[in-house]
Amino acid sequence: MEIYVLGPGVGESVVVCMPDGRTVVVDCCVDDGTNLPAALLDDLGVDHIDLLVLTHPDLDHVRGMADLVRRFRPARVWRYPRGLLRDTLQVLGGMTTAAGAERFVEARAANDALDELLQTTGTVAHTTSGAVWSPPGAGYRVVALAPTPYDEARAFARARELVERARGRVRLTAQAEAWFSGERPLGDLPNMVSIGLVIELGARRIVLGGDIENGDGTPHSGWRGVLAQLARPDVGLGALMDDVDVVKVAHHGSTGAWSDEAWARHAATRRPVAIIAPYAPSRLPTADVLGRLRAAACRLGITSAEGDGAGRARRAGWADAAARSVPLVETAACVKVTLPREGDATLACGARAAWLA
Amino acid sequence: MVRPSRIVVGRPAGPLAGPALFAFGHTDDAQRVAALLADRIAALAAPGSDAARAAAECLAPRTAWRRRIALLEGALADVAEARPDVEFVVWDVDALAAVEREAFDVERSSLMRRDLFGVIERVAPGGGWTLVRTATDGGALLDELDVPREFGDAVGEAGDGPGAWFSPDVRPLIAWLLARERMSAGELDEIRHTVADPAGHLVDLVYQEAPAAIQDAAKLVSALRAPQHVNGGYGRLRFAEQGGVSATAIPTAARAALQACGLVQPTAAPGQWWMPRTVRARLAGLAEGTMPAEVAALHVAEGRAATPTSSVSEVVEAHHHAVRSGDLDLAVTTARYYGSELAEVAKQISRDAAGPPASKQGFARAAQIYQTILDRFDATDAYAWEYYAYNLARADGPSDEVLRAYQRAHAHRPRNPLYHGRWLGYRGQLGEVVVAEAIAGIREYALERDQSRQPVSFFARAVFAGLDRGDAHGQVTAIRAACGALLRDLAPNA
Repeated sequence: MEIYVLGPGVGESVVVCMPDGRTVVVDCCVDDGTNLPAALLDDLGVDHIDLLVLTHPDLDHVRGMADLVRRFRPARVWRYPRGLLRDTLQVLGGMTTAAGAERFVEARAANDALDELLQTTGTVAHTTSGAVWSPPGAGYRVVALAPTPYDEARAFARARELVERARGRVRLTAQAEAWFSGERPLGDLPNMVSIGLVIELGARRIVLGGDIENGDGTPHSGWRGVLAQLARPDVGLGALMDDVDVVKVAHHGSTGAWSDEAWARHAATRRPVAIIAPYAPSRLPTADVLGRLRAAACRLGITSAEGDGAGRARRAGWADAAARSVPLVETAACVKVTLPREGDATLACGARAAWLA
Repeated sequence: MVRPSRIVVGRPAGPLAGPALFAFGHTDDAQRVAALLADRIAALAAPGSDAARAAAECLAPRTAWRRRIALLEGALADVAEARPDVEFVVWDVDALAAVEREAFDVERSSLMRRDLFGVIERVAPGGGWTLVRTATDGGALLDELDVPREFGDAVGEAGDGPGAWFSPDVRPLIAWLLARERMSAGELDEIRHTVADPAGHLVDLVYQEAPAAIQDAAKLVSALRAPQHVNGGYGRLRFAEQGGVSATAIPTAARAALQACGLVQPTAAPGQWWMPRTVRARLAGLAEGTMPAEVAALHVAEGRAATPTSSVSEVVEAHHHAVRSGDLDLAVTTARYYGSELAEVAKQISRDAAGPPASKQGFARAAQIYQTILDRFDATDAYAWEYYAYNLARADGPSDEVLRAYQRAHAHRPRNPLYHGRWLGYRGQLGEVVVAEAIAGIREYALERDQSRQPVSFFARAVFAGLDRGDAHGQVTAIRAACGALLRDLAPNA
């Protein structure tokens, strides 16, 4: 199994090539006008996507998605629970300021493309924790970790707060105005619905954390909610979080997405390989998370030098490539993990033009 | 022998001995249901009987609400006794029984709803009523009613699992989600225990699963108030084999899909459908926000549907839509049995007039509508008097007329602290010394200590606003000196 984590500094996508030739793609990103997952698939000679996952409607995960969908016509799509997004986008049409407009243009384009696909193939599904895809005879399964029903409802409620009826007319709330003008960050609203995944192949497990954060701190929300959901007797998937081989670190390595409980499970008896796609403008990953990963992960890959994530990693105790005597920090637009059926994972990185040998 | 009354939870099994009157939780619920009950009495009562005369008086536009309610109560009891072969059916009676109270500035509809529900509470134990409960989460008042209960058809649709915890109107949605494997029984249980508004969330989940055309059809249908309308509950909407959703048509497939997923549900009458209150409340705002042109066109078309020979039911529905269309002339024309809904149009005009920039012409127009309500309809409508005065004052109308109107509002609704405060404030604005009355009012309303409705705050702010407009700062100082602690505690923004 080969896992390609793509991240040019703003944007994130994961391409997983399964041993049976099937392909899983998570999210989409664009760098300098190039659709990275599409370009990678082209270079790998892959002309199909068996499962496409759109984790949540943030620009760094959705940019280029419409193009990817129309080109590769994925056989199956897992879409974050979009709830009222279509209506919200309609209401916001013409209301948003330039600062927030691109997010909605891209999100709307992606949703339109997926709606087209839904109409023709019927294979687009809103996905929450516990959803499973397991092709017959393939010997592996892909399981959705999040969002929990609680976070899904929380996100819908927050979406309703974007618009209000005042004096008999629909308008943006003051809070939404502040968001769209860039005066205030959107907060964790999009991340509340972020899908996360586990891919299980025999004894191998890969966690692709999407942008799952720690939610509102209740036992039903964020990583705590994910662990509780999987452990429910009727779900019975709790072991999927234990002794993981590879983790795509959630939410670009933000402190708000770090979960001691989850990582204690991931690294119960052996430490996994960790890959981070930085979000350079917000200086993610944080030094705090990079430091915690020193104890929890055996090796680290960072997909971009943008924002000095690699520098922070070195200062947190991760050696640079030249040292080689301690775990590596691999830095490039693409980090590739090769996971054989047995034995250690290997980690490599490459530039966008050449990808990886 | 009088037919025994019953409360049915879920859709009643078997035919009903009379048409169902639907409550929707809208501002016109009380007036509309009262008019429909009067119409039914008129059809059932012997010509020339007391009940027939009461029904006719109820339907007369100038009959005051209090009088209307009193007439109804007597006539309903008479008819139930005289006609044991029929029954009065109120569908989603919890919408009338809802216990929440509106703020003092808009409380008219909840007060009227409470009045009407009081009548039903008193007459139903005597027999002749079927009260259908579809959304059972707000009907605490019904628990006190001495009427036997039974379960209807729809109750079992969600099975015996966690779905059994939900109201009947949500169960078809649950059944659909479970059948499509969009949700497991375990997740439903999780939703029940962790989500703040589980029923509303289930509506969201079903809505989310629907393709865009079905979503649009659902939103458009939410602007209708089935099944008072024709066409099985779909009003004048056509069902088109091809094409998308428009102001006049929805795809045939959308109708089937809406019915399959439970967003639209069957009533007890064959071929008649309705959108439950839980669903409607969720979708109506979305419809106004995302399909304003289609919704407005639908309201206009439905508002124009009434003719001189239309039934009471058709006229009250046309009036509802005419009011929501914003077409003042159409709204006034269709106000045949009550005028209180015209206040919705006046309110919008008044809010627009508040600007910026403020428009005295707009306020004058709003005042004119309230005057129409009082002249042509219920002259005891406290709300109409209050906002007639309020708008007339802002249009620089004659002060003696404004004062008279504020006084009438207070006289008809003496326990409304806002009306009371504005009356005092306006008197103070005109130069009268109102300090003693204001202090007494603050102390009196402080005794009510209604945390949610803040009577002291409503009263004091209205008094101070009037005094400030009249530059009567000395009076404000005197009131604050006497009631400082109370104001700090109960009206910190005054």
